[in-house]
Parts: sequence; C-alpha cells; structure tokens
Amino acid sequence: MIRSTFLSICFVLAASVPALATTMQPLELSELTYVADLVAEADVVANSVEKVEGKEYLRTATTLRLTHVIKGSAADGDVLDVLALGGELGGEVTTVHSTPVFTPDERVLVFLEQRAGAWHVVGLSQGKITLVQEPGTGRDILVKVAPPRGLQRFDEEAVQLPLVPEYFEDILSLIVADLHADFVPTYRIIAGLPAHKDAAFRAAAKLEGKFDARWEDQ
Amino acid sequence: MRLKALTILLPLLAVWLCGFKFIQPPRKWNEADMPIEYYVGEDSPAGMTEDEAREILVDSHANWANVDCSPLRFERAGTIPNEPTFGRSDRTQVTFQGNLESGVLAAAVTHASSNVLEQNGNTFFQTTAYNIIFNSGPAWGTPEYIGSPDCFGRYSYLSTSTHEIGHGLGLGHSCDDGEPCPDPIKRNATMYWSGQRCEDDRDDPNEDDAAGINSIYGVAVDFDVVSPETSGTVGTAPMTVVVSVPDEFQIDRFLAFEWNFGDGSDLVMLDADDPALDGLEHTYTEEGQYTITLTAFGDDESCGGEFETFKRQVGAVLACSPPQPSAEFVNEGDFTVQMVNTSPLGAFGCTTEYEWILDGDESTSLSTYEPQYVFESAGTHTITLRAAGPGGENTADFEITVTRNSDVGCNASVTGRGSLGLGGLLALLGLAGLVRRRS
Repeated sequence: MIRSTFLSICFVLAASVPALATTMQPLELSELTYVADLVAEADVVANSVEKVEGKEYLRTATTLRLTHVIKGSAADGDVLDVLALGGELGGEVTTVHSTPVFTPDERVLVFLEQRAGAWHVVGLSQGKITLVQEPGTGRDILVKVAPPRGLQRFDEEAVQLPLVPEYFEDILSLIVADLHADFVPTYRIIAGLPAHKDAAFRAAAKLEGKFDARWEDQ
Repeated sequence: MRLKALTILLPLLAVWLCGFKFIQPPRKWNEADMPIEYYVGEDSPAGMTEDEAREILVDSHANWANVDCSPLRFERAGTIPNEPTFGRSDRTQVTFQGNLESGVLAAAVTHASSNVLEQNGNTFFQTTAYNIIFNSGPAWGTPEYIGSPDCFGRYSYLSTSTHEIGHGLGLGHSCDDGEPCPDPIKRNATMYWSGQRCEDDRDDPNEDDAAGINSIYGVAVDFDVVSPETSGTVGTAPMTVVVSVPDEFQIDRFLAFEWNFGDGSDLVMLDADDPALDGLEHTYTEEGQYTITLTAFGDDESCGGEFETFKRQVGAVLACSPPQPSAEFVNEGDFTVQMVNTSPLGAFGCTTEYEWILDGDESTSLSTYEPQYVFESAGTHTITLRAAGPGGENTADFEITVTRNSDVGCNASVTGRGSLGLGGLLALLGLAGLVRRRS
C-alpha cells in the first residue's frame, strides 16, 4: 500500500525524470579532511531548486549557516550555498542517487570543496553527516540518514539512533588532530580531484614519504 | 511525527528488507527500442587504449544482455566528440574525463519520458537515453590487468562500466553509502555503491544483479512472508512464518518452485499446482536474521528453454531471544560514575533499546548507551539496566558505591560488575548523594 501510494505520487509529479547514479570511491576521514576546502558544523537553512540553464535536469542550492568552522577560511556564522544535482520543481523530478540531500533544520558536519566557484560536498553523500542530539546527555551522535526530498523540516526526534552511537566529539578530535599535525594521508589518486590539488597532494605526500613511486606511471 | 519518522527511516530499512533496488522513480527501456544504440566519446579512459575501452564497453553491455531471460540488446552506433554531459536525453552515450565531484569514479544520468510501461507488476517510466561520464583522475585497467598480481592503483573498467550501464537500465545500488549491508551477495553485487582499486569481484553481474534486471525486463518471481502471531516478520524465537506465492507469479511458464528458508533446513520443492504455494508454514527455532529465497523453475522460448529465476528477501525474518543486559562501572572520581555497557549485542539486532534506572526511580531513566552519572556525594545506589528487543526484555540490577576518589592509578575505589538479576558491584567508599545528568 505504501509502495503503490509512493509510486502514484512519483508518477503524478514527474513529467520529466532524469536520474543520476554513481560509482563512488570510498574516502577515509583523513582524506575527506585533507581534500576539503571547508569543514564545518552547520545548520541547514533552506533549499532552492533550479533548472540549470540549457540543461534538462534540476539542481538544488542548499543554504548552510556555519556554526563551527573546523577547517577553511570562513567564519562561524557565515552563510553559503552548496550545489548538488537533483531536485523537484514544478512537476519535474531529477533523482540523484548518492547525492547528499539536506533538509531545513538539519544539523550537519560537512566536508566541502570549491569547484568552478561554487561549493560542493566532497564525495557526494560521503561528505555529509547528520548530527542528532542524544536524549539524556545532549551529546551529538553521527548518523547517516536519507531523508526524502521535499521534507519541510528535519525532526531529530524522528531519527532512529544507532544502538551503539558514534559521537561527534570523537570524530571532531580526530579531524582537529589531523589539522594541527598538518597530516597528509598516504597518496592515491582521488577521482575528480582538481589538478592543482592533486599536484599539491603528491608533493606533500612525497615530502612525508607517503608516495608510492608507481603512482608516477598512472 | 509518526509519518516523518517513517519517511526518514524507510530509506534505511528498504535495503535491509529487499534485494536489488530500482532507480527512483523507476524507469525501463521499451523492448520495442531494442537494440539500444550507444555512442562512445573519441577519447579513452586513462590507462587504456581506445580499442581496449571500446571492447570492454561491448562486454559490459553484453553482461546485461546475457542474463537469463533478458531481452536486452545493444549496438555501438558510433564515435562522437568527447564532450562530457548529462544533457543528452536524445542519445545514449559514454564519455570520459568529466568534471564531477571528488570521490566520484563515474556517473550515469538516465533520461525518461512520461510514457509509462508495466512489467512484473511494477510501473516504470520509459527510458529514452542514458549518459555515462567517467570522471577525470583515476586510471582504469582491463580485466587482465586488474586480475594480475602486478595491478596497482587502477580501477576495473569492466566493473564500473557494467555498473553504470546497470543504472542506465534502471537498477539502483544494491547497498548505498551508510546503509547496513550484511548480505555478502549484495556487497559483491556489480550494483554496490563503490569500487576499490584492483578489484575484479564485481566485473560480472551476480545473482542479485540478475534478479534485479529480470524484475525490470525478464521473468520475475516474488513472494509474501508473514508471522501469524505478529502479523509481521519480527518476533520471538521459536517463530512460525507463512510464505506464499501471489497469484500473479503463479503463471504457466513456471513449472516448480523451491523454498530455501535460510536456516539450514531442507529445501522445500513444490510443483506449480501444489496448493501449498498459497501458504506454507515454517518455524525458526533459533535466534537469527533469516534470508528467504524462492527459486522458480520454468521453460520458456524467450529464455532459451529451461530457466530459473529467484527472489531473495534479505533478512526477511528476525527471530529473537530476550536480550541479556550486563554492565561494568568505572569510578572517575568526584562522585562521577561512568557506565560501561557490556551487554552482548549479538549479530542480529535483537537488542533495540537500553534503559538505565537509578534506585528504581523510573523518572530518572536514561536511554543512552553508556550514560555517566554525576552524584553530589558518595553513597551506594542500585542501577537497573533494562534491555529490550523483539524477543522481549530483561533487566539486571547492580549495586554501585560512589566515591570521591577515582579508581584510576593508586586511588582505585570503585568498579562494578553485574549479571542478570544480580547485584555485583564492589564498593569502597560511600556517602549518599543525589544524581544529576551530565550536560
């Protein structure tokens, strides 16, 4: 019943239905931190869906208010837009698997990169982690959720928490330790990494003895 | 609130209960559009020659055409300038050196019209084209290179292109990033969400991929399972379920069905006219998460004669025993006690909730996994740990003694251990006090 209702809604909504799906390269936390231009805790303010001019698909601009900048030149309180393919607008649907979906009022830890002057999430869904306050302790737990597009407001109480939680403070300490130590991960080619970043990564890894010479042949 | 919870949790649960997934909204090619003509960018992916790349693209399309009962056919239509774009709804194409986000090996956009097609009880939009882009950066390898001991740093071009074509045909990921994926068949599916260097395990579609493509294009089978006691599929072991094959899948082309209940019991074979297809009981005697597989055997010209197809419902039945709560305690000094939850979690998710109760006062209960209590003074207290799950609930009581001094180093003062129904904590210091939650 739920399935047929869901399908009915989709088929009524969708007049044009491009969908994108990916093969991802799993990234380690240290790689996400190293690659990102900006790492921050943030509140999701709003989503704005637009049709890309001359294209047949939609993209969503998500407005984030940074509440705690961990890496990058932004400041706490700054507001920025993150772009991602996908969205629903005026009966059109662009479905994008593996792309992060943000919901207003959601609190997130994000790893962002700048591409062509716009902010994007590193590794698509890999670079977005939702924070949910643990009842009783007030500590933030890290969760991966897949909220449906178009959800008006994120309700932390509606999220089923993992039985054995991972706490934000723990991952934060790892990120901060990496940053304080100028930690360079062991080099490997990261798909889609802009050439200048890849060159800097190679150079830094060579200095640290974390570069396998066989990468020169790739 | 309840509806929101459902909508948020559904994407996490769906993968647990189903096998393959469709791209949403679902879409498929019309069989009248076979063969699917595709164009290839006049560049080559890094690490390969153009000829190698084109040959492997033929193989990766054939991977889907060769699935039993698949009506899919493909034809390479020609070479095009390599201009990576997702915007060609009029042409199926594969291009290289894209500018996609970091960490993306490749991506496919599937375009569909508003025409609707039906297959195996599902409704699909009609696909018009798919556009595949291989991202810049990584180097790719042939199956021979990827499978060789000298492989270094490259990704399987066959596996990734087969995966992306699978998206173009309508399949989603068998498991997505962050989703539980305990089933090795789904983890090893070509449609798994990610790929690793020098890995060729996913070069060819496995049974989960094949079942997925057949449910979109070929001959599919499905079944229902329910526990008469709970009206669901989660309950207390021993647990009896009833499985049945819906009428729409009891069709002429199937000659027999075979049930595998996933608990090591004998397979059950039923002829196509056996009334037990409408309801067959099976009892799970031990705690576990069980995958049920129904295989249908048939004979059909379009499948090349005799064929079989199957449906797996991964983790369809969860039969649980009551949880066994246990805990230890660490006195951290200054009247602070850290709870350490040592309850066995088991492998099946049969514990879903913990609750800590101080001195029998339910109003102070905490549902945290390992709470910390901060008392105002020393004293002795009873902590109750209640664990609950589909198999019921159990409680364990522990007596703790709160001290000013920590049990770290020379000031060891309090540790505790308890088991079901037993108070077992060692006590060293004591002055009664009140509790407050850690903020």
